[in-house]
Amino acid sequence: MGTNNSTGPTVTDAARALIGSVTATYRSDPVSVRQIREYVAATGGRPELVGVDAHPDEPVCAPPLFFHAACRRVVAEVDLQPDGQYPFLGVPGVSGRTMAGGSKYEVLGRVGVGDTLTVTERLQRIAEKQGTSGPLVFVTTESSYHNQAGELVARYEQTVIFR
Amino acid sequence: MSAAPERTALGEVAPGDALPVLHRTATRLTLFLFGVAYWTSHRIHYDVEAARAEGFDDVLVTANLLSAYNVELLTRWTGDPYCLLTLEERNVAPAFADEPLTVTGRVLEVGARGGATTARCSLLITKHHSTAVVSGTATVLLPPHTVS
Repeated sequence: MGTNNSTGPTVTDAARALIGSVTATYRSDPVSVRQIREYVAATGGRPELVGVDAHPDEPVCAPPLFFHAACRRVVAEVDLQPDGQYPFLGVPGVSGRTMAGGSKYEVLGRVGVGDTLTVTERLQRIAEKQGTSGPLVFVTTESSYHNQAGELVARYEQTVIFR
Repeated sequence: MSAAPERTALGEVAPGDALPVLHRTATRLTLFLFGVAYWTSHRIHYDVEAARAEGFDDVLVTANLLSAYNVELLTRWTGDPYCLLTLEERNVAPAFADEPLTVTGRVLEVGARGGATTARCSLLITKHHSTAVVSGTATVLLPPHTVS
């Protein structure tokens, strides 16, 4: 995502030119029981119960929104921005302090242990507005998630506010 | 999956029905755990000085953790951990660590999809009893025999 900029958000013409295009792709590592346990523990569940009620012939499945966590790119510390953010999140050329604006999830299939997900992210729009405390930039991306069989398992739309 | 929700006595579902309320408080420890599982390195979620430097009172609860709380509300209500079809949210105000959150929902309409019954619900996460943090809607699959 953008650089840590205390003077307000900036948008380059190069960023605007990317609207409508694919800005990032990423293939996850195979989903593990460990990953699912971590996600369950982090969201208030009981990690030791992961898979206890699963059918022996079926893979252990993850909670509905796990797909998004599975496709978070692991970034080296030296590559992070001073505020800890990614260098960009599919939107190179937009900078500023960031916070979440909104999201849409569409869950189309289950994600299980051993699955490998491929996410394709497209830049939908960049909206520049004047907020009560200064200029704001709303960047909206839409991502599709396919498993190793090519099945579409989820869509995710996210709006990040740069300020 | 593990986080099998407690099965609720869903009974018959109709527009206007309120979902059983969920109370959650994300502590700084919670945010650490979520940061690991979600690989969130953004300082505003764990570094209170960084959060204050950006004008916030404390570290912010991660938006995707708030989404998980909405999903928990829905799956506890239906008794089905895989009931979620769609979830749309707008982040209205930040939630900070240790702030008690109230997660609520209400049935807007009952419909059908591919032979199954669905419910579209409004969602609202508040803090301090009335300050909206996240508003949204979701569509879930309902178990059979829940519509009159």
